[in-house]
Amino acid sequence: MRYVDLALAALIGSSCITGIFAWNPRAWDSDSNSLELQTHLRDGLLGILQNRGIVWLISTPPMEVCAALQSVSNSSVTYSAVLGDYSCRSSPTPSLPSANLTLNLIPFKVVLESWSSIEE
Amino acid sequence: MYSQSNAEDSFGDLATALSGAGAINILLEVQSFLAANAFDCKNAMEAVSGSVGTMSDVQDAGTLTVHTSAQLTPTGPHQDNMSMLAPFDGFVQGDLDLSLSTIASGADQAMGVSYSKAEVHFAHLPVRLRAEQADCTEAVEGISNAIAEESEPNCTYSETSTLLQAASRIPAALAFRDGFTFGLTFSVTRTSPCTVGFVVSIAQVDIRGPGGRFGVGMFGPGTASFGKHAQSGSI
Repeated sequence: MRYVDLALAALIGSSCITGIFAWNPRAWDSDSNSLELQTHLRDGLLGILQNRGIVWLISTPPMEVCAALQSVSNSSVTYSAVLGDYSCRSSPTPSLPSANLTLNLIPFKVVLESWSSIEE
Repeated sequence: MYSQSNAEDSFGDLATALSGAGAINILLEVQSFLAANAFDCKNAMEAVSGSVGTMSDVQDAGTLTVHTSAQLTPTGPHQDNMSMLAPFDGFVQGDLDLSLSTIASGADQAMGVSYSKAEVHFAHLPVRLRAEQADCTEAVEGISNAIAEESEPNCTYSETSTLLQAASRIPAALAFRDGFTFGLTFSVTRTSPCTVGFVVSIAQVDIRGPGGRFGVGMFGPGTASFGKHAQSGSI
């Protein structure tokens, strides 16, 4: 009987601990915020495409594209690109929230990148 | 909170970007095809239309795939929601207009969202193929008729050349008016009756496309005998 009590107590205890992790609103919020931030970053990339056009990416010298992306970057978001073999020098720190958009264009592949300067 | 609706929006945005990339690739393919070929003005539109109809593009972003196919279209809206194709977005009367059908499909297993959407977009290249074709066929016809009206000359290169230059004056002026270059080559193919074979060549040059500047050339072969109409008129 004593062993049954102990087993029951252990089961209730482990369920509670699992429940605390599973229903921790902070954990959910963190995931949700991360996805929202990524959406925001991707929206920024699409905004650049809508404003500048895709032809701009393949008809402008890569250095000028990089300079333009740098000019629309700010203290919270950085924009960059890899245009075929040419990469704008900056690249995101792995821990920072980031988004990218890959377009397989006939002249070369374009990868547009954006990342937040604010750690999650 | 990030929701299914946000995930669907993200899919929609990504689909727009990938559709844009597919459209630009097809425009680049059309440009290469036009620049690499000279078209017989009798069937230039059919040749271009047939080739454009076989062009397609696939953009694969892992969670989403967009398949784009193209065809020439005689009508369409001047405005499209694909500003990322600028300056080649929308329909422009008289230009080479394309309707681009896109099918986007994908799924986000983590969010439990699937996405599927078919759309039609419009884009154009500033190539005035119909006008070029019309000028070319009219030039062949005009030159043939003008030569047939002439009385038969000494069938020498020098004399026929002078008469052909005169016969091509109006067609050349019409082509220049429309912004095309005009050229004419010929040879005497028979001396009795004096007959010439000639080729009219018309081109639109310095066209601004997504892959840089290019030209579209067309040629129209013809044969004409001097004095054909004049003789039949005198009988």
